[in-house]
Amino acid sequence: MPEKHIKLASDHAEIILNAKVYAKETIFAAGYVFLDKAYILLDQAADKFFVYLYPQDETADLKKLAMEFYNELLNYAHYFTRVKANADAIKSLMQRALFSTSPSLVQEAEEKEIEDLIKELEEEEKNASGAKKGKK
Amino acid sequence: MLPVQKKGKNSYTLKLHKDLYKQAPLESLLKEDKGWVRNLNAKDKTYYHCELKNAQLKDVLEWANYLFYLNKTS
Repeated sequence: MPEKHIKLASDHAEIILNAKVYAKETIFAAGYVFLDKAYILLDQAADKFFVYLYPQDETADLKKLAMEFYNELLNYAHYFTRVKANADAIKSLMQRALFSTSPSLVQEAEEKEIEDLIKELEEEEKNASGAKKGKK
Repeated sequence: MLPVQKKGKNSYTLKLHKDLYKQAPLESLLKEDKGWVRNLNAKDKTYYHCELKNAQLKDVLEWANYLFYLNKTS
């Protein structure tokens, strides 16, 4: 229940977050979105983060503000998880996009790949011949 | 305990956790606002303690928000 983790005071809302669930980057990303509607203070203790939200509009509903912050946290937590999961796909897409603008880069990459393969084969050969000598 | 505490009629202290707030943006902001904000250089290894003089709570919170912005963007 999020209510357990939200404390409402007269002029601010305190949100207590489990550090194992929400990363610092997620909190900063969510807080950044709130900079124009709330003043934000952060604190940390053991495995908890504390977010203090002071609304810039004094008539604002504190609980609503805190719940909106939770939504933003979830949004960014999901975003960072997807970025991590799709890192390889994003990297290959970016490489393709770059290569398509400069075909010479494709040639360079292919040459580099061939060089790496040759080196790999040479090392394998060395290891194999070393093993044969060892047996003799 | 709240990170912001009233210390005098127009004076506040702000406790900023060192794992959350980066040193470089804080130092540059302290340099910029040295007329009314200073680092208390407490021996506390966990927090920066800043004193904000001649300020209202709104000024302190605005300053903290700008520090938050600098931390996010730097």
